Amino acid sequence: MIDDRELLLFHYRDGLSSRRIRWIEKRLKQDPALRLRLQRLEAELDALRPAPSTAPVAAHGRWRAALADAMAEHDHAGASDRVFLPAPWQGLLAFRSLFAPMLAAAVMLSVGVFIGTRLPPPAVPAPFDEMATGQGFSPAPATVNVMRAYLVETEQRLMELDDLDSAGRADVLAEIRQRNALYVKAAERADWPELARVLRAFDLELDSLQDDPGPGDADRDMRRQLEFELNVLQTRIDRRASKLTHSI
Amino acid sequence: MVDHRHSSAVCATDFHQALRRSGDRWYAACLNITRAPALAEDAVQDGLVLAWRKRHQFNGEAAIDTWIHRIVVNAALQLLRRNKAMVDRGPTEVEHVSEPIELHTPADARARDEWLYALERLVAVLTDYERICFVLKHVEEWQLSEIADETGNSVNSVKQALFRAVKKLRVGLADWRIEA
Repeated sequence: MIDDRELLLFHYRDGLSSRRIRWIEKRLKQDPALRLRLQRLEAELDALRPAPSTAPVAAHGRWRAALADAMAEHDHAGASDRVFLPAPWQGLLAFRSLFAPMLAAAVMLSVGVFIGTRLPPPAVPAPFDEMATGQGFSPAPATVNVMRAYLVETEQRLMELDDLDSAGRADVLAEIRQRNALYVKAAERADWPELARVLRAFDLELDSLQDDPGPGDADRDMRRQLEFELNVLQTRIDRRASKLTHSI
Repeated sequence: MVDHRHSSAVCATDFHQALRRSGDRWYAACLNITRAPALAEDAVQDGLVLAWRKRHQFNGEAAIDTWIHRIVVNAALQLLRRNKAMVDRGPTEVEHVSEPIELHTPADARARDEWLYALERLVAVLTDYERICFVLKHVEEWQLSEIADETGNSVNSVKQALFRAVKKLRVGLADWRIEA
C-alpha cells in the first residue's frame, strides 16, 4: 500500500530510496487509481503555491541604501590598513576620505538631469579635476565600481519617479534626502565646504520634485546637456580606474 | 530569456541589477517564511549585505540572483531562529478531515484570487516549523536534508512536519472548495 505521505515524497523525488521510487513508478503504470491519487495530490500541491508578493517601494529604497552603505563601508574598511601599506597606496587611501562627497557630487549631476537645474559649475568639476590631476589621486577599482553603480542606481530611481504615485515618490525622495544629509556631513568632514553647500541646496530641489510630475519635452535640451556632463564625469572615473589597474 | 550567469568576479553593478530584477522575489520568499513584512524586509537587507561581504565566494556556477536568493532565505531563517520559531512542537490538532477534492473544477480567475486569499489564512494555521518545512520544500525546493541541517532537526522530523503541513493545507483546500 502506498499512502499519501509516500506519494508526497515521490512527487518531490526526495526522501525515498531510488529503488523505492522505481517501484512506485512501476505501480503507477499498473494502477490507474494510484495514478489518479497522485494527479490529485499534485493538483492540490500546485494550488498551494503562495501568491507572488511585491515589496513596498520604501523597502526597495532601504535595500539599495543598505547595499550602497555596505559597499562604501567595505571601501572604508581598507583604510584601517593604512599603516601597513607601502607608500604608493597612500594617495589611494587619501582618496577614500573624499569618496562620499565625490559620490554626492556625481549624484547631484545625475539628479540635475531630471530636475532641469544646472549645478554651479565649480561645485563638481573643479574639485574632481583637482583630485584627478594632482595629489596622487587614484581611485581603487572597487571604489569606482561602487560609484558607477550608485550613479546608475540613482539615475534609474529618478527615472522611475514618474511611475510612482505620490506616496511612492515621497518615499524615494525622502530616502534620497536622508542620504544627502549624510553626504553633507561627509563633505564637511572632508573639508569640502563648497560641496556641502551645494548638497544642502539640493534639498530644496528635491522638495520641488515632490509635486512635479516629471520633466517634459521643454526640458529635453537641458537633460541632454546634463547627461553629457554626467558622461564626462563617468568617463573620467573609468579612465582613472584603468590607469590604476595597469599600475598594479 | 537573459542568462544572468557571470564569471566569479561580481561587482557592485551586478548586485544592484540583481536587486532590481529579483528584489520582489527575495522578499516574497522571506515573507513566506516569516509571514511578517517587517521581518521579511529585514531579512532581504541582512542577506543582501551579507552576500556583498561574501561576494568573493560566488563561483559563478549559479546566477547571481539565485546565489543571493539562497543567502537571503538563510537570513530569514536566521531571524526566525532568533525568535526560536524552528522548534518542532509535534503535531497539532486538525479540526476535521475531509477527502481532498479535485482542484481544477469550476476554477475561474476570480475563484483563483479568492483561493490565494484563503491560502494566506490557511498557512496561518501551520506552526512556524511546519510552515518553514513546507515553504523550503515546496516553494524553495530545498532537499529534506538541507532543511534538516538548516533547522537543526532530523530529516525524519522535517518529513513529519511536511506531512502535517500538507495535510492541514489539503484539508483547508477541501473546505474552501466545499464553501465555494
